[in-house]
Amino acid sequence: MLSNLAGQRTALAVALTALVVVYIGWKITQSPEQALQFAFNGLSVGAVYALLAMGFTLVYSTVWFFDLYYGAAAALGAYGVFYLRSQETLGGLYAVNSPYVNIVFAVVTAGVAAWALYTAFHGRLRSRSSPVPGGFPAFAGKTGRGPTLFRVGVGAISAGAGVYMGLVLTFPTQIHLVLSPAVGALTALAAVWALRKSYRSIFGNTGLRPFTVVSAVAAAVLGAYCGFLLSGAPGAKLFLSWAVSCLLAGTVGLALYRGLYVYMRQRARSPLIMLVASLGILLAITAFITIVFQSAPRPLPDTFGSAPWTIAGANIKGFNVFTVGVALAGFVGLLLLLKKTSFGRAVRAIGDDEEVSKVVGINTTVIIAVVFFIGAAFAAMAGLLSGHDTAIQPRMGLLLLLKGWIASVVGGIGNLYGAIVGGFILGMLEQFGIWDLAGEWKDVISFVVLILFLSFWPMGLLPRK
Amino acid sequence: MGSFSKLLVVSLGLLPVLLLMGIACGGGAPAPAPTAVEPMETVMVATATPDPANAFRIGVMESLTGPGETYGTVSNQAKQMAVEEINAAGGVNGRMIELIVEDSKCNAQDAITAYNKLTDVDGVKIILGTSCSGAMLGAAPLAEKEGVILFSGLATNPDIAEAGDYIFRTSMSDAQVGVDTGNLLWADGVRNLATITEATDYAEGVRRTTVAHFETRGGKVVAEERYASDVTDFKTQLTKLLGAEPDALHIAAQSEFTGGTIVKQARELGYEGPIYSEVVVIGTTALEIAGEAATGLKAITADLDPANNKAQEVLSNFRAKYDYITLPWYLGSAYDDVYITAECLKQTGDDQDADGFRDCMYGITWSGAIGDNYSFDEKGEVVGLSNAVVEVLPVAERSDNNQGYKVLGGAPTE
Repeated sequence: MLSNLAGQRTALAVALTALVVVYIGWKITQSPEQALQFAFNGLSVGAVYALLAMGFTLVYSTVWFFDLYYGAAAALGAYGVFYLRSQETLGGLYAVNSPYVNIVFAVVTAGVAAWALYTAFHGRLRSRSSPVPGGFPAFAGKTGRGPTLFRVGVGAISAGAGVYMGLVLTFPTQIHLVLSPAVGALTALAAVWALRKSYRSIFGNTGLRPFTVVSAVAAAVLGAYCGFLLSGAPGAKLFLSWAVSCLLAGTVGLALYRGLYVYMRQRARSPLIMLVASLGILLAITAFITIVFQSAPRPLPDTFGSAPWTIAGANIKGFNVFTVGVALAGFVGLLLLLKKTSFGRAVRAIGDDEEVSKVVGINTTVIIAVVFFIGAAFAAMAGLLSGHDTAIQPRMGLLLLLKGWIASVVGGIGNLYGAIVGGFILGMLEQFGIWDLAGEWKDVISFVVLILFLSFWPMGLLPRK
Repeated sequence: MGSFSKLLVVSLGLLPVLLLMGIACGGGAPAPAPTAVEPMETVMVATATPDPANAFRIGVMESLTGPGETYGTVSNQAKQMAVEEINAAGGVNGRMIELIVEDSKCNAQDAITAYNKLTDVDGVKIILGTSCSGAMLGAAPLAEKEGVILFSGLATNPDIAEAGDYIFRTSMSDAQVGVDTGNLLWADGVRNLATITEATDYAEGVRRTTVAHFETRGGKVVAEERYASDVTDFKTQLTKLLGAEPDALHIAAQSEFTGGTIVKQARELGYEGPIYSEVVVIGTTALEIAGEAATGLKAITADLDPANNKAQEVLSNFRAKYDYITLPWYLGSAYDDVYITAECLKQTGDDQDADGFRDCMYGITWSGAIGDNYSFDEKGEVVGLSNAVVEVLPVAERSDNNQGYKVLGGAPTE
């Protein structure tokens, strides 16, 4: 009843807000230091929630369904770091390195690489091949060997990618050596791309090809130098392990999308079916992690900034500041991606109407796949940051998932601003909420907030327009 | 309104699902994570020589997975080592000993499952275990009713003393740890105490006895917090505790993991005062996690006497066999349990004779790794052993030989 009456809802909102403000204000006058401490705690926890909520929101606003896999992605991200780092930093106390695990991820990587290469280049090459002389020779057509050659090429490259991922996972203590060629090559590619793009924006297509050739040489030198630098920098191992973990979690997300959700989206009539499917995936991956790593909680190796800084009587770790920074950077990056690029326009178009987007020529399958990848990578980042801050356990994914989901409901599902606002608000509410209650009630407060919002403001604080 | 109705559908769909998951996985109790960890199947210790079929069959229940896995594992390994020694030396009255191991986890429910498996399927009458007080208190009433011996080297909850005639332990009751800790706090000049306690039978027992004794001495608890076993972020609760400005922080943890993490996070929040705890928080894993944050932490613990040759021999054998050492006293306690069992089996000559075994236990006086000339009182509690005060060393001085701490002396009695 109440929820249908705008006036009463507003009254309730005003009353609740006033209550919260008065309570917090009263508490601040009681003990400003402790309030500041709670605020710092809330910020660092909120940053993790915000990262998760952003991943959720991105996917939700594109395909209109909650992928519960992201809980598992958070756990995968954290355990990925554990897998890659524990051998070296925790004195081998819980070192796990199983060839079976490595093979599983190598196969997943190879499969996703094959699909990505095929999807990205197949159509493009075919369109080039046609009657135009000098088109791509593989599709020159008459012999009919072109497509076979293309497939063999894709197969070889993706098998190589799989083997490479297997190598990375097998030799985690040498991760900087193993990855240095890849990072060098990526740097070179990025440099060529950037040079080419800037040349094109200034001079157009005249002389683009010779310029590309020349710039490729320079970029190759740069890439080689970067690779060389990296191979001599064991300090980079931590960040490399983060990158690999996010990549893996994203890859698994993409594989699930391609291997499962695409079919379900074609056949299922209701998003609920996919929701249940993704719940199954979440539980299966949690069980997988439990089998490999056992169920007891584990620490992640120390990073940087674990000494507290004291500000006005309250303490905050450097790492927590870093976490907040990552959340803000992720927010800005995602915002730019969505608002300023053609990819972002495509994502928003699909969110508005997928069928029409398809009709106007957007490759929805690819765009949605990338969205799933980014969402899972965000969740993995959230998981590993929270793991470094506190600890990891197989069930952490479920807990983080719920918090990320509540944060996005509070902020307004499908709205990127809402995701970051909701994350920080939830973090703060949780902290201040238990000031006078016992600490075990922290989660209860989140759920009360959730129920209030679902009952009265299901569109959240910042509804999607 | 299109997106709104979708939203409702999704939200309504999610809620029951999440609730179910919450019930299935959360539960509040020290939740062993969902299935999937392979329980250690029946482990048969080599019984090569005389007649394996004629071996004494002894049950073992330990928390091999989940929150208590550190001490369940070390305890199980110590028992396996002791049995291998006994069997290698020709067994008991020429018969081998065979251990049948079940994972009792760290809670009553799984302990009862393990107990039923051991008694119904394997038909054993003597069970060594368990390593968790909660598990022990779950299985003890059944054992007492059915006349099955339950003999623990680790469970320390005071309530176990009243569990019955068939229940024994070589581990000292938390009541003693509590009295000793209360005295130590008072002797160190602590008057206002903050406590953080894991919501399990063991940790709650430690806290209750410590606080009770501390308060009878005149101390005051200014803040207290409890946490579920699967929590990893303690900062909020610690912030509240430290906001009460206590003279000292007392940690009662069930798992080394949470204990170590709390120490670390307390220091990260800028707490510089003293921290007091007991055996769990000075375990290898806990100190590994806490790192330098644990330096100076004081704990009341049962510690092996450096002058006891048997103890040192057991430790070096254990290190040679398993390549690590943690919780040395409890390792020795589990080891002694097997030898005491062997001694009583020698007298009764029958692994199905629980009554004879019980009478033997009441009469026995033993000298082993954990002490000399100790025995059991009418409640099955061990008498003749005592606790020590230890202080954690800086990381640079920690080694395998000193377990990361130095013994300051016996616990104060005043």
